[in-house]
Amino acid sequence: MLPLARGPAVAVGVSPGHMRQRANADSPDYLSVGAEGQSLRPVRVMSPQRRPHTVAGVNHKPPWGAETATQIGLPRRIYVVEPLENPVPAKRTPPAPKEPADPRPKRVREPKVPAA
Amino acid sequence: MKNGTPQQSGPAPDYFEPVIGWRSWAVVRSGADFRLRSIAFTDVWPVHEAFVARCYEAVTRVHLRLWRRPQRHAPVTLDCSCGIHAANDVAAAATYLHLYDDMPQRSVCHRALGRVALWGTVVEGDLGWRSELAYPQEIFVPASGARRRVGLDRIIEGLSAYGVPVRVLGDEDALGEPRPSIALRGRG
Repeated sequence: MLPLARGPAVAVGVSPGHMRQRANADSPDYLSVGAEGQSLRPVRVMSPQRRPHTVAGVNHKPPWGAETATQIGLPRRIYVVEPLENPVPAKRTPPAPKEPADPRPKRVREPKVPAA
Repeated sequence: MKNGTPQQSGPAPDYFEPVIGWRSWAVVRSGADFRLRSIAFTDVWPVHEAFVARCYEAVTRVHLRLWRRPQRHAPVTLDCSCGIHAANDVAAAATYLHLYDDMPQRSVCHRALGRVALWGTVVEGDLGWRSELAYPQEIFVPASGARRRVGLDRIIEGLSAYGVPVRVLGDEDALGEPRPSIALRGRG
């Protein structure tokens, strides 16, 4: 498991420079995440109670998918799962149709009439 | 194994059982059928086929410097937020059940909650997982809340095409607490 560093709160931006400009240490919504020895990566942590945001009187929602990034919280580890059994249920094959009954009337052998 | 076919190359697997998490879906009409759709994205989950994650990093974020726009990459990595998300707690997944409910979405006729199997490359977080491949294992449809005069029976019948149990979640079932009959299985 990668050791995670939880640094002081920083703001998120569209570029590192922009990020620094918008840095807000008082904001509880941002955390810095990164492996030890690596540069910290800002991750926006947004509580569901804070949605939707209201900016300048306009009901502003975060971009689509932004909230899902916070759904799993801070990443802890990565691994490969290869199920022995396929989790996807197999398709049910419809039962084979029964062979239609022969519509032709069966020939009935007439008893042989002895020749007179 | 990916999409049911054995994978010949790649990293050695760490686990041999899928991770089971909880997530919310939108129920959408697909022709005469009903399908599960991601809440935040427009991806419809296929029937009898693993849902494969895609990278949305390049399209969901606003990039002022277009020449530095990130390229799509193969999900899932620790550094991205791509992947199929699932929570390790039913209550956490239920908080997304009515997300964007107030936005007009014609095709959405109901919402659903359920257990989902996750496999492939999986990133484990404090509150859940995001994975490369997924397929629903059990679907719970709230008894109320269906839109557009769509009968609950038709929705349940339509969702049964996934080949997994589809159950009605009664109004008396508190979404905030897991029902005793719903056992949560997953790796913590």
